[in-house]
Amino acid sequence: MENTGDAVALSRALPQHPPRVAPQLWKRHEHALLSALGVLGFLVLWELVPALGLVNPLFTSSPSRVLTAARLLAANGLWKDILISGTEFGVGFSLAVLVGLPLGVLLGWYRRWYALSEPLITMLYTTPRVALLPLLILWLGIGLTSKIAIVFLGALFPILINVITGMRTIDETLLMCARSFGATDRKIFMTLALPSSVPFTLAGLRIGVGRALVGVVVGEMVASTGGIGHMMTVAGATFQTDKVFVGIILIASFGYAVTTLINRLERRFDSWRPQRP
Amino acid sequence: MAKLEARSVSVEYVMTRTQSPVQALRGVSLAVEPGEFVAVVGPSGCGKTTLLNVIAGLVRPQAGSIHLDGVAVTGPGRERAMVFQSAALMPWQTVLGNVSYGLELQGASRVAARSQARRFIELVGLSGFEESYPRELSGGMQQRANLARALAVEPELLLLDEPLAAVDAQTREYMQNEIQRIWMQTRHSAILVTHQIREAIYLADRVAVMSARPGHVKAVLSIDLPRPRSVASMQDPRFHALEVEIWTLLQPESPYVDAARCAVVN
Repeated sequence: MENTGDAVALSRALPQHPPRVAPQLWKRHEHALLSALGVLGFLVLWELVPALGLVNPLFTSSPSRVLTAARLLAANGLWKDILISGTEFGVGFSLAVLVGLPLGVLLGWYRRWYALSEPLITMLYTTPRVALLPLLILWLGIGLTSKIAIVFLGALFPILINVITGMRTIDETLLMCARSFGATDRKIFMTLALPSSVPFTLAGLRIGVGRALVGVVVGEMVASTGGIGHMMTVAGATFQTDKVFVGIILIASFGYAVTTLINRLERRFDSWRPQRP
Repeated sequence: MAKLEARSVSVEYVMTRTQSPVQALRGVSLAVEPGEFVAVVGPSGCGKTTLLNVIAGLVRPQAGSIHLDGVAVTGPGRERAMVFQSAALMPWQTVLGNVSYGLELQGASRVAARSQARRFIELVGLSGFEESYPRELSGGMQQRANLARALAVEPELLLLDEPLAAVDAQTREYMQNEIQRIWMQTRHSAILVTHQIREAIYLADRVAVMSARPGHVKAVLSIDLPRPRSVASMQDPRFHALEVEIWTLLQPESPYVDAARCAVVN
């Protein structure tokens, strides 16, 4: 009898259980689930619309065609292209960080150096870096170096400008507080200016990634012998839409991954921003 | 000898936007005896905070001088510490890190600074929140940390710049009591700038009443109500009489102040 009683209690408890798990899962991962749904929905539409004959797949391609093209490319030197583009991005972006961070700190801290360089930096920041490509190719040839240079220049200026802004945006009252305790400039630099610049620096890195990718693709499209951008140009010129899409998806995925990573970091350091800039 | 003496301090600054000069202080003289708590009240924009900044050594006056124990001072020094109107805590540091900040800037070792900071965190009633970050604290708690940071360097003169202006009314009354308790324990000389007349009477031994801009000291009133003061002290007829007196001293200023502010805005 006791067992039966338990079973009744259990059966009464059970039906409540499954419907509660799903909403909880939904609530906790709503953003991620909706994001996945958005991408999935797009892929399904992209597959269906050409399959139903609404558009010509020769122009629009479709996920299955892209996948086939990717397999074919993978067996025929896609890795080499990825390696070339990856190197251009990796070396160029790393150089931009290595130069941009210390230079930004320096220019943000020393008023006179800032005044001296500000017009040049702003000019170079607002000029599309692609405009420098003809010159870079003249100087450095069509190999890796010219692309590394364009990636470097693309990423450098957003990083530089944001670090400078960060260094110059110290909470006014915090600064007065430090001074009231007799803080030296060196101490203010270490304890206030550097930490204040962290959120700005991350924003600069995020923008820099985008600009660096533009550099890789456009650089390779204009003049090169390899890389994803080169592959896409060749494929486009020979009417191989599927291959072009392989390139687009590779670049988009990489950009999305890196940006998401930096966004996470940014959220973590968001509270470091001065309350009243 | 007075702990602090401000002698005919005048400050003029230039408005950044309009480039027009503004006289903030005109010949302000004020003395604070050792262990004395002096409050400064005045209409908003009368230069109270500027006066405190001059005393802290953060603003250089165009005329006049500041003397500590009879010695003229021209910059910040470890015998003075300021409690700011906004808590001004570093968001990337814990309460402990923030309260140690002044000590570390003044050259204390990290270990010494942290152990001293713990003592003052306890004094202001923030025990248990040493490892909390400012964003995790309420406004009142942030102001406690702000207060502890100034107290931790054990200043001879504590400068309080409207430390309770940004907290809610209830917290404010509670914190007024706390400031009295802490001050009676530490017995620093203290200057409190406030725009609340009751707060000034409640906390101070003397209240200096300032005029509208350009600010100067209109009158100094002695508050000889017994300590510790409590809500009951506010019922004291003398408390009320002082309140009326200060109110009257400030009263004719108000329309002028509004006119002056309009003139500045336009």
